[in-house]
Amino acid sequence: MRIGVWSLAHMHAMSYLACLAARADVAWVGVLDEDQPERARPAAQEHGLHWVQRADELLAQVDAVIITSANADHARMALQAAEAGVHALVEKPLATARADALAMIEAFASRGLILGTAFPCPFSPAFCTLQEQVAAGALGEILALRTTNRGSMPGGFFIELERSGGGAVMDHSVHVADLLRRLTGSDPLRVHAEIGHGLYHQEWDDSGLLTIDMASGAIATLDTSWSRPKSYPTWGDVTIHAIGARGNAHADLFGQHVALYPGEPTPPRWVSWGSNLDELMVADFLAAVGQGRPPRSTGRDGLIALEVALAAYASTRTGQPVEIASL
Amino acid sequence: MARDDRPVRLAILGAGHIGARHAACAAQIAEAEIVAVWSRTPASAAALAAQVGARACATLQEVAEAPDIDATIVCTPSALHAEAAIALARAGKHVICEKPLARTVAQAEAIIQAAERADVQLLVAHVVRFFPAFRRLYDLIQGGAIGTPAVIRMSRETAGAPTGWRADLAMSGGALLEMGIHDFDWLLWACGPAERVTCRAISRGGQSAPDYALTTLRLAGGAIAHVESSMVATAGFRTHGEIAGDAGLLAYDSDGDTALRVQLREPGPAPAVQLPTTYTMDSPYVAQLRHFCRVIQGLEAPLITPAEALAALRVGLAALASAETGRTVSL
Repeated sequence: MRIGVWSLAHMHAMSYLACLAARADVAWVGVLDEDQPERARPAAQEHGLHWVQRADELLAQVDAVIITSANADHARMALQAAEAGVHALVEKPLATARADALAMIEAFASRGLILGTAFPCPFSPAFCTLQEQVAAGALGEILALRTTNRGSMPGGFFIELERSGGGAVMDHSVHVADLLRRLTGSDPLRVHAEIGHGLYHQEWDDSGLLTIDMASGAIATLDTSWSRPKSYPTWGDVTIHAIGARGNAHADLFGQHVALYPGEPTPPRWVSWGSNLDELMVADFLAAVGQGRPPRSTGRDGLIALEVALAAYASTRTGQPVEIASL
Repeated sequence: MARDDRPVRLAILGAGHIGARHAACAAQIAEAEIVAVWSRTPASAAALAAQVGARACATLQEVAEAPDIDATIVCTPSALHAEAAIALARAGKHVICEKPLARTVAQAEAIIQAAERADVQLLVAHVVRFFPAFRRLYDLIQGGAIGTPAVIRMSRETAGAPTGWRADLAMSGGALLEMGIHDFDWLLWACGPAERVTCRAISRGGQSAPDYALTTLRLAGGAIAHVESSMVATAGFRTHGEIAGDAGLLAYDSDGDTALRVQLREPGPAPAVQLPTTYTMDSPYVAQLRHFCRVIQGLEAPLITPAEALAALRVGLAALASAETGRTVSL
């Protein structure tokens, strides 16, 4: 299979390049960055991949692309890929506007192409086990979910609102919004958010606390804040504290680590030994393309998660919960 | 107020688990002496009185009229605080009152007014302020260790769903007014007043009072906060959370920072109401009672004002209202 990695604006691109370079079933990988074309050259060289300088050149040579551009560029690039008959795995959030996400879904579906949303968390073995146990009824009905997806302030396009579509809430509400659907087997109905600017005092939101009512009746909260300071031992977390009718469960998807205390006067670090979820996600997407089946996270999954983020922002205009259906 | 370092002679009103806890604390300090116990259940009053060497009173009026009682500790169900506190304040007794101050704002305001008119102390037992970890967090924040707080998360989890009057929404307010009230008080104390509240709550046990609640707050200064109040944990008592400021992060976890763990091969039955333990020289409950007695003696200024206790109650009631309606409630 021949794959393109389109844009290095999102830091996840480097991880995907490493995943692709390690795969025997990927014959050719092209790397393109339109913002800073030169940036893609060393990235390609590092993994023995091919540096490409034009989008049409890339799209003409590949079966599928992974789109890791700034959020606001996803739609334009994905539509271009669909036009060229190329499958796409799009970094989250799928898009920054609902209409864009809908257009993307339509463009791929109408051509029989695969559109995936890059959600690695559903591949977490801990999450999969939790999902299985919930599905088997081990916890009884899921009544409440206290969740976090906290992180460090990433900089880059993430804090340029016209390119990101929003700050911490846009960046971090989509992962858990998606996981909530998988755990409850239902979609979000309404969303309220308190959105903060108190960590960095900028026009972009650096923190958010969402309250999400699921169609199943489960209640949920989600902390999307960029509240890990530079001295924090790791980048952040994804945690799910589930209250069920018959028991509780706590999942810490990136909690598997050893603690490293350097000899230098630098802060301790948590060094992960958990499974590489990006690797599992890329493998699933390639298998989906090869087999012509949907990937674990489809365009529709990306759309519904995006709607949660959009409803969170909308709720700050009224100060009240917003119905997803009203978007 | 005149300084008077004779022991404060106390009557305990309500002989449940927290009344017994206060009696045990009083026995450890020179500043307090338990002279009387009253309960809605005379047998409970008699039992606790016998245990602490005090007399049992048959009626609230008997307590109010006793000349050898300086102050009372109100440990009745939350919705009944007002009745006892107002009667005793009017009789000139200082009032130490368990949290929440009352079950409704009207009751709380009536208690505050009665104490003001009688010129007696009204001291609300927001004991979390006396927990060393929470005091340390407060001091660090006031000292600027993390800059200005921006995102606060607080969790308080206990095993043992509410039973008896605590299971009754009208009497107790459940997880929000039994558990959440502690964190609401600390939050307002450390980070400033609340502007609006959004809450979702469930009653897993089926009782009228919620046993699990997730509350989100916006504070007047722009900070946002999340408070989890759980009575559905599977074991023990745990508090954990973090305060993220614009110059750093504070984190705490009672599971991680305890100085002692004991694991028995054959543990006995868990107590109906679990209380956290700190393994410090003064238990927070002892430190609190000593402070209250010293305030009554005129030796210390109160750490907790009635207005602060009312503010915490308003947040708890707003959370209950939000959980009920699904709407966000402005304060």
